[in-house]
Amino acid sequence: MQDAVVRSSTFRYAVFHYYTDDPKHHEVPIGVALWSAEEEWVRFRLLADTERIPSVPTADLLPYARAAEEQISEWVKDRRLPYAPSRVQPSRDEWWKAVRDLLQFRVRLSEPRPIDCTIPDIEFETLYDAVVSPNIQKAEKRQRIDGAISRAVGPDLAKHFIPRVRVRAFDGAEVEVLRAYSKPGRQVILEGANLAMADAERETDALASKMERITAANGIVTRFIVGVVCPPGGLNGATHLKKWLERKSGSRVYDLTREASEFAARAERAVAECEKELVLFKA
Amino acid sequence: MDQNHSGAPGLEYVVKFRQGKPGAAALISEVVCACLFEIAGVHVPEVALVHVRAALADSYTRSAVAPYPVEPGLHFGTRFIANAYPGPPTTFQQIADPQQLVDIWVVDCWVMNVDRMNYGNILMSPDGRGRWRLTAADQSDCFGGSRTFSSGSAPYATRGCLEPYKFLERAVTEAGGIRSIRKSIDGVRKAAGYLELAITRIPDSWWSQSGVIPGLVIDGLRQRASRIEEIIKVAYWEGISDAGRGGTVLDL
Repeated sequence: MQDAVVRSSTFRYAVFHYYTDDPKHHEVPIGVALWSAEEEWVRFRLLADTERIPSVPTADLLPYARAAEEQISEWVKDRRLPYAPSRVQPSRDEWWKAVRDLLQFRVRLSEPRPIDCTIPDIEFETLYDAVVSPNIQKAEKRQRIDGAISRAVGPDLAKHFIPRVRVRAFDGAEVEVLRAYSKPGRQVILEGANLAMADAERETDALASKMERITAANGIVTRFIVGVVCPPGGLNGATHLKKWLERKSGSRVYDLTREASEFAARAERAVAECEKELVLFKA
Repeated sequence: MDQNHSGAPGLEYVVKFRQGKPGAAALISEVVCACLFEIAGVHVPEVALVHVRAALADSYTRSAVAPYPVEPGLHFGTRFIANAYPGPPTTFQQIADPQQLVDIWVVDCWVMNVDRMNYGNILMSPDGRGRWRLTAADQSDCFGGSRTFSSGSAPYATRGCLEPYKFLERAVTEAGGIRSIRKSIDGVRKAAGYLELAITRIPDSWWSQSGVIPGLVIDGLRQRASRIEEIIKVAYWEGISDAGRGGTVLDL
């Protein structure tokens, strides 16, 4: 089980933009850099070849994203920036301010901004999702959220929950859930949603509807344990979606990054309760 | 551009303002070399002379347009290349046509450029197939650098070849070995035939401000063009070509 080791909130981030060629020169977010001088931590990423952004043709954009990525990687490796009088650590604000001054063409960088970040290794990707919101395949989306759930519960507990299983729903239909622990007449379902993405609202509604349909199935007692991936620093204002999922699932919804241990404890308890109820029922 | 600053809307230029003696020499270097590079077959940004009136120069000086006083008169501009990305290339695979890198290096050796590999002095434009075409974007530090040039001591007779640029040897191999070097040399010789033309493009005020003597530029570059094979050490490149025949050149 991966627990949230809360670090000091000294992180900063900046957004890479693609400066479009149209007369209005839109600036489309295509990547992020996240760093902390105190933690000596730095990472950046631009749109991957497999990702898409609806507003700009990918064929136009990707060569610039790759060129910027290769160039900045080289600067980071050498710990040196063009025109800089001395070496600067890439985990410092000065580094990224200088990069911003250098990127004056199609790829540009925003001013550094502070962000509340506790587990950068995980939250970096969520930050990227929140800022860039690339179009990714549905299967990959589900894989990512399942990865976050598996990481939260840990491998031992995860073994109890069968991944991508179909369960009974309203009117005899079946729906696929992320993970489920099933016993006769009882089941515990682990589900999740990525609230960092642009389509968070649609994903929330879909999950809420799915939970209602499963709850409406006859003859099965279901417990939902729902985790969500939230953007760090409250970006995108996804709190109301989390609350909506709490209302529809009838129980607390956990932030899979910052409340991973609580999520795991709840899942473990639910399995134990399910076993106990089953024994009592048989007796 | 029009003298009343009423250039066609939508056209953007990057302007280098003339600053003192070395600054004027740098602009001479820009204009002469842009002309020579183009004739030699190297892509350069479109050049413009930009006239700034006294009132505008005064306004620029009082604002933050430039961190130094802007003088009225003619300055140097290049058409902004909207789709460019600042090089130099970070991988060989980025280069669409390796001959372009060979050409830039050979012509740079001829005109004694000192800072081609600085960030932004090569611009890259997408070729539509995931690679990049190269543009020689800054010719202000040819003739051994603008200070050397303005002091009248451009090292025409003594300056040898430049260090090979990153990926140059592989570019030579992939562009046809010694044939690619010979092609670039042909470009230099062709451009040397247009030295007088290149010189005529310079405003008189720049010559007088810089102290550079046009005749010395013509004689110096003509003499270097006649020695270009020796300057770039053609024998070395013939050796590279022979070695390349035996197999694949690897980037290690």
